[in-house]
Amino acid sequence: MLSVKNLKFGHGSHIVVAENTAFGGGIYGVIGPSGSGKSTFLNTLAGFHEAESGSAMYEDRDLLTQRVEDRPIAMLFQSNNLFPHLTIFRNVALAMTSRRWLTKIQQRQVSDALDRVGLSGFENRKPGELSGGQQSRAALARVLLQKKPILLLDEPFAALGPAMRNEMLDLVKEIAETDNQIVLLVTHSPDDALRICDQTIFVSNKRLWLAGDTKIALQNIPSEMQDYFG
Amino acid sequence: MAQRVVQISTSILYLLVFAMPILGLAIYGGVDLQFTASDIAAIKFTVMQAILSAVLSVALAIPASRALARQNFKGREVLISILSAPFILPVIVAISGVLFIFGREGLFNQFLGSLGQETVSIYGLSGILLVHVFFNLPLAIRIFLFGWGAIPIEHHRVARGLNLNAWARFKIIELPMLVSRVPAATAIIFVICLSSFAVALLLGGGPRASTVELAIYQAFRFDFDIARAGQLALVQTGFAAVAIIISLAVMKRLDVGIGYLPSEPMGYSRTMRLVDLGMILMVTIFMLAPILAVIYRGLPHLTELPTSVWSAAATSIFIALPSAVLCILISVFMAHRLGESISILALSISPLVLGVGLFVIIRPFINPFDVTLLIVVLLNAVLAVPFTLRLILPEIQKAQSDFGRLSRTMRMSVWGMWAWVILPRLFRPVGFSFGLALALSLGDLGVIVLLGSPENATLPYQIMQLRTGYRLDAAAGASVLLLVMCLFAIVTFDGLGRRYAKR
Repeated sequence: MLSVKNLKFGHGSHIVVAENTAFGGGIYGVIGPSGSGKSTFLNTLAGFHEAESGSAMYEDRDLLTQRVEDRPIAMLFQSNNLFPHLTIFRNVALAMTSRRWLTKIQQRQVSDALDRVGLSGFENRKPGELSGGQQSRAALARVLLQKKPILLLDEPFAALGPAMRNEMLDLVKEIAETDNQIVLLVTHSPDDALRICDQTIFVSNKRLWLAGDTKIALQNIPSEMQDYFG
Repeated sequence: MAQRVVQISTSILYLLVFAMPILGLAIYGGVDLQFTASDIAAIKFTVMQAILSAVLSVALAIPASRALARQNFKGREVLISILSAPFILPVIVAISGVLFIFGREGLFNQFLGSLGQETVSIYGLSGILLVHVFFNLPLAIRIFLFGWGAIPIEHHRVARGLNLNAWARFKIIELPMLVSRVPAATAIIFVICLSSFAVALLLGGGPRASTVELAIYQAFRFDFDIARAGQLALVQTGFAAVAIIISLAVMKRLDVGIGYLPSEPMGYSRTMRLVDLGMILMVTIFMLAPILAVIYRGLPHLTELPTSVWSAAATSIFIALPSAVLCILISVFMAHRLGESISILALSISPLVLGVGLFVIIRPFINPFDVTLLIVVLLNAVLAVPFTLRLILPEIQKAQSDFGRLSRTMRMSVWGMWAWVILPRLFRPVGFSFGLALALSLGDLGVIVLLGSPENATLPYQIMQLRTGYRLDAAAGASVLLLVMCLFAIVTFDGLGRRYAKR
């Protein structure tokens, strides 16, 4: 359970106030206009951005006071999730070790992860030789190996075509369910949210709140977000 | 079509400014090269000091730029701009400054003396290296800053999320950038240091620290042995050929700039931050101390400058203005990829070689000493082109790619396109370029040393004369004047360009 209390975050005068919320296992869509603070919210949880005040407790510890590397969080960004000069195998293996040689068990685990995202046989390719969808899969394979209870996705599939994107979303759903993760997915697309998100978080007008079940939330769009949805 | 014709013919003319003098030298001096022992020594020394200068500059620039890239502090951008000042700093001013700090009676030796240590002399190799590092460290820092900045911030974040240790982060994220940039940075600084005549002239000399350019100068000026000067010039041209090949090979990896510098904390330890800030402080002192020393020493004497300094200043302006105009015209007419490649010639071929070459080819028709200033105007213009062209070309390309299709749908002619679309968008880069060309020309201490005389002395030349006459106070005063003129040129024309720029 991740519970956000009195959390304020943002840049300069644009400070977003988050409603006190507890997130259990499941997928949450984070929806709001550009610049409303969706990415900043994720970056604050991950530790790449400092919160103004408040806390985010996970298992009796405040994430916000922990070092980035110690937080129970894995995150994927819009771009540059893979190191272009390293092979897919190496990129994924970094989730476990940065040593040159992996143990038999570690090699096995990397292969299993790649297998799970459907990338068996691509171990020795460089990211540049893969399609956008395959690159996303590789990044997801790494996330799998990180075995973190919280997964933050900052529009990592925005550049993919509709079919590919749906495929990736389904993969995320499958992974999240198997590992019982808390997933926050930033998206601009109501369709994406409807496809996999159990609940929806709205960010708008310097406020962030849990709007509840995605289907219901998207049928009762608050007036202040009408312009955004059009 | 018309545009192509102009671009190609300007490029050919530009090429000829380099090719004709060298051809002249080859024909006049012959290729029958016979080297004395001192020539060989000069050749060896030239290469050695260039290698050392390049290696030292790069070795210092890597930790300094890394510190600048990953430590966010107030005034970082300003500091980075200030660190680039040496680019427009006239060589003579920099050398005066370095001597005020590290010279025989300089602060550094006074400090050593007060500790009871023996003083050090910076004439010779150490002085040349010091000044070369002073001039090239900022360039190297810029090259690497761009490299650090080009590393996606997500890579740092991913690495932190994966809990990679400092060594792994370095190896995986930073090392690949260094591997691709270190050779290019070293090569370009090596190339620059192969021909930096003024530094060798003022700090080198003697059998142990003589460069090929210095030998050319001595053969020409003291022995008036033009054939020998010509032969040595061909050796220097050989260097240039090597330099051009290197430049063309590494040019792609030399994008210079600040790039994107992350402002978020990168999760390095407190000790690392202290080490980094210490590094930044040291580099800042190293870069600023000489300039401040000149100002401190020269400012009180600014009011009592000899008339010779004022007339030299007038001569400098008289040369710099037409030179800058010519430079901009060439840059605009030659604004093309081809022109950009050709302009590398100007970075590689020694102005001294061009001077001797021009002397040889015009001598049958006219007394070269009668047209010294014209030669200086021409060469200063040509030598600034690689810098101004790089500022102007991207704007032209952008205007063409943004509005080219639109203009064609309106059936706009080439002339219409230039008059209505391109030129109005060039005020900004042209303003800055003009100021830059002025400053470079004002500070030039190259060909004028070869052909100059007290009657047509430029300001840098006059400062050099004052220094050799041990009139150090007057020299410092004149240096401040030169500094002010260069700054004024850049600030004024950059400001005008911005003001009239069409948005």
